Amino acid sequence: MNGGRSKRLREKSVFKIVGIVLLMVLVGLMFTIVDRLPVIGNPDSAPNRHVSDYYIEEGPELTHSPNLVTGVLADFRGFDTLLETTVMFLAGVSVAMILSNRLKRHWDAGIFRKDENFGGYEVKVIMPILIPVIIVYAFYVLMHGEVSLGGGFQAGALLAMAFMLYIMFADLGKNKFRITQHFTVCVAACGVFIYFLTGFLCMINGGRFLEYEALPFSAEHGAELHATGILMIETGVTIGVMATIITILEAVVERNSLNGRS
Amino acid sequence: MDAVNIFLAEKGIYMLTVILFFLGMFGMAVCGNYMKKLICMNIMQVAVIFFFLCLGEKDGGTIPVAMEGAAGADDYVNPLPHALMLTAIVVSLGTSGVGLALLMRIKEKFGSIEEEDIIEKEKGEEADEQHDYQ
Amino acid sequence: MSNMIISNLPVLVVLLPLAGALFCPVISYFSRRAGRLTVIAFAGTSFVLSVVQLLRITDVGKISYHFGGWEPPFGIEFSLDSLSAVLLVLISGTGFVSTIYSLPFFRGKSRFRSFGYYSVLSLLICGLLGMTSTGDVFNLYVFLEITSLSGYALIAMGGDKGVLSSFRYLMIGTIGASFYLLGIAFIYGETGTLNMYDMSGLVGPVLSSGTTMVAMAFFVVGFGIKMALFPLHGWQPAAYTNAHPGAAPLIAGVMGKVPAYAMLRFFFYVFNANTQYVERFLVVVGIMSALGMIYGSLKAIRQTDFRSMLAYSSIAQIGYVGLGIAITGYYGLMGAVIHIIGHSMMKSCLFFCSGAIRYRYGETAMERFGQIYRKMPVTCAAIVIAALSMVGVPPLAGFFSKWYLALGAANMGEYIFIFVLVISSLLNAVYFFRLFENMFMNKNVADGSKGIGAYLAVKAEKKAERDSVPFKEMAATKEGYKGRLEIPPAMLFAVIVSALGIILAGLFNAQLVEILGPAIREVV
Repeated sequence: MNGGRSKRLREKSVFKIVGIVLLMVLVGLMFTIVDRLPVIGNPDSAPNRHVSDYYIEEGPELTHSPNLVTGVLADFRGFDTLLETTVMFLAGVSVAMILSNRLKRHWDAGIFRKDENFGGYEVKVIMPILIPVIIVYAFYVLMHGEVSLGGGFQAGALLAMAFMLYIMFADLGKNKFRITQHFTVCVAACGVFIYFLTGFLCMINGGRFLEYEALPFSAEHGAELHATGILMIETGVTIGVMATIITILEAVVERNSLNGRS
Repeated sequence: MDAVNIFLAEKGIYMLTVILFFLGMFGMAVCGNYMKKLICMNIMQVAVIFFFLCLGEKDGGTIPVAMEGAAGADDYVNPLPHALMLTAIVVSLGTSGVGLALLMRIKEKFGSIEEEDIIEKEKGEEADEQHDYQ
Repeated sequence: MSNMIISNLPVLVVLLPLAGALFCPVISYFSRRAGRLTVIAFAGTSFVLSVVQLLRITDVGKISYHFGGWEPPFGIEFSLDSLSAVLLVLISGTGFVSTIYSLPFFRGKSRFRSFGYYSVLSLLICGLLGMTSTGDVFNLYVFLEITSLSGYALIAMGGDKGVLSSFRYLMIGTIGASFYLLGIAFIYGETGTLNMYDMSGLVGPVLSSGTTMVAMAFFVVGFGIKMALFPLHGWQPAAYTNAHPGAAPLIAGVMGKVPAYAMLRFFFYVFNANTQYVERFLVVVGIMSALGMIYGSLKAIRQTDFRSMLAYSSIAQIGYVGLGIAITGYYGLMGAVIHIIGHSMMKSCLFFCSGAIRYRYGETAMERFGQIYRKMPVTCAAIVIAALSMVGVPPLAGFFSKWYLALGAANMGEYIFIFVLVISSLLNAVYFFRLFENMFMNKNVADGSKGIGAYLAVKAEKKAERDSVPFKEMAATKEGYKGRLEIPPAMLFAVIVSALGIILAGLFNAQLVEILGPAIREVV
C-alpha cells in the first residue's frame, strides 16, 4: 500500500508540473486575446453603450427607483432575481436534506466539539444590546434598498446574523427559542412564494409576469406601483434568505450535536 | 516600457482576473484536500465576478444611484454587470453551501477529507451497500 | 381566465413546477402524502400546458414572452419555436412520469426526506424547462445552476457513494458553469447585450475577433462538461450510477441533453454556423463526439453493473448528438434533435426499469438477472424495446436519429462519421445482447447456485443478520414487496409510458420531423 501511495505522489508531482505548464500556456494565450477586449473605463465601449444607456437614462423614471442597480435587479431583470432566491431556497433544502440522514458513524468525526467556554460575562451583556440594533438596521436596509444601497439579501443576511448571535450566546442546552428545520424551510418557501405571488398577481390582472404596473392596487400613477412591487419582492427575498441561512445553520448545528454525543 | 504601462492601465485588470481564474482551476486540480478544492472553487468564481465588473467600469462615472446634477449616461457606471454579479454571488454562495454539506458527510463516512485517504478507503470497501439510498 | 393562461403559457409551463416545490414543504407539515401529490399535480399541469403550447406554436409560429413588459434587449425574454416546444413537452412529460415513479420509494420515509426530495425534483424540472425556453444568456446561466444544484442534491440522496460522486460532480460542474459565465463575459464585452436574438445580430461583424473565438471555446468546454462530452465526462459514470433511483431517470435521461440543446442554440441560432470561425469549433466537437462514441461503447461492454453500463452508454449516445451538431446541415441537425428526444426516452425507460428491478430485488449486477423475465415480464419487455431502439432497430425511435445522422453525413461527404456511427451501433448491440443473454438465457437459477433465486436466499440470511443490529429501518429494502403486480402500480405506469413513448416517437416520426422542420430550416 505504501508503494502505491508514493507512486501516486510521484504521479501527482508530474501532474502538478504539467498543470503549471498548461497554466502558463493558457495565460499566455489569454494575453493575446485580452488585448481585444474593450479598454477598462472607456465610456464608449459596447457594454457601456448598448443597453446601459437605456438603464441609466430611463431607469429612474421607469422603475421609480433612484438606485439603478436595484432598478435593474428587481425590475428590468426581476425574473433573474426570482430564480436567484429560488437558488437560495434550493440550497437550504439541499443542505438540510443532505445532513438529515440517519447518522451512521464509521470514523470518529472529532472536529465538531462545542466550545464550552464561549460566551463569557461580557458577551452576555453586549449581545442583548447588539441584537435589537442589528434587527432595526436590517429593516432600515430593507426599506431603504430601492433609494440607496441595500436590499433584500443584505437585510435577510442581517436578520439571520441576529439569530445566529442569539443562539451563540444563549445556552442551547436548555433552550427557549429553538425552531425546527422543517419550519424554517417552510418560511423560506413562503418568502419565495411572496415573490412568485407578486409576479402572479400582475399576471392575473392582465399584465405580464412581474409587470408591476399591472398590480391590482390603486395608485395614482405607475411609478408608485413599481415602488410597491419592488418593496414586495424585496420583502419576499428578505424572508427567504433569512430562513435559508437559519436552515443551513440549524442543519449543521444539529448534525454537530449528534456527532458530539457519543 | 510605455506600451507595457498602457497595457497595464487599460487591460491589466482583465489579465489579473484571468490569471486568478486559471489559478483557481489549477488549485482545484492539484490540491489533495477537498476543503482546499472548495476554497479554490470560490477563488475561481470570484475571478469571474471581477471580470464582469471590469466591463462595467467607466471613467468619470460615479456609483449608480441617481442624484442631483448628474443626469447623463456618462455620469454613472454601468449598472448591469453589478446586478448580474449580485445574482452570481448568491449562486456561488448556494454552491459552496451544498459543497460544504457534502463535505461534512464525506468526513463522517471516511474520517478524512484528503483525496488519498478517501481513494484508499473507497477501494477497501466491500460492494455490499447496494441499497442504501435514503 | 383562459385568456390569461393562453397569453402567459411560456411562463406558466416553467414556473408551475417551481410553485409545486414551494407548496410541498408547507403541505407536508400536515400530510406527507398530500405534499407529494401536490408536486405531481403541478408537474402534471405543466405537462398539459406544454402540450397546449406546442399545439399553439404549430399554429402561430414563434412565441416571444417579455418579462415585466420590458422590450427584449432590456428585459428578459422567453423565446420559443417549435424545436424548444417539442423539447418542453418531452422534459415536462419525463418529469411528470418520474415524480409518479418516485412515489413507492418514499412510502414510510421520514417527512423531511419526502418533501425535500420532492421539492428538489420539482426544481430540477423547473430548471430544465427554463434552460430550454429562455432567450437570455444570463438567465440561462441561472437556470443551469438551478439544474446543477438540484442535480447535486438528488445524486447525494443515493447514499454514501452518492455523496462522494455528487461532491466530485459539484467540483467539475462548477468549473463548467464558470467557463460558461466567463464566455458570456467575453461576448458581453464585445456586443454589450445579453439577449440571444439581439446578440445574433450584433455578433456577426465581430465573429473573427479573438474574444468571440475564446467565448466559443469556453462554451464548448462549459456545455461539454455539463453534457459529459467525451474527454470531459469524468464525473458522469459515478454520478449516474449512484444517483437516487427515483431521480436517476430524469438525471440520466434529460439532464445531459438540455446542455447539448443549449450548445446547439448557441452555435446555430446565436452564432452563424456557416462561417469558417464557427466551423473550426464544430470540427473539434465532431472529433470529441466520434471518440466518445467508441470509447463509451467499449467501456460499457466491460461493466457488470446495469446502471454503470447505462451511464457509459450515455457517454456514447451524447456523442451522437454532438456528431449531429458537427455535421451541420438540415439532416445533421434533425438527427441531433431527434436523438435528443429519442435517447431521453430510451435512457429514462432503461433507468426506470433498472430502478424497478432494484426496488423489487435490491439488485443491479447483470449476472444475477438470470430468468428475471419470469418474475417481471412487463419490465423486461420495456427493457427489450428500449434496448432495441438503442441499437437502432427500424420502427423504434432510435433508428430514425441514426438514419438522419447518416443521411446528413453522406450529404456533407463526411464518410468517416458514418463509419463511426455503424461501429458504435454494433458495439451497442454487443452490450445490450449480453444483457438479454443474462435476462433470458442464464439458466443458473433452479439449482440455487446463481441467479435471482439464489440471490434471494442469501438476501434472507442477510436480513436475519441485519435484524439483530440496531437501525433496522435501514435494512428495510423492498425484497419483501408483496403486491399483485410485479412492481408497484406507480412504477409500472412509468415503465409502460416510457416504453410506449419510444414506440410512438418511432411510428409518428414523420409528424415529428414536420413539426421540427421550420425551426431547423431557419438556420441552414
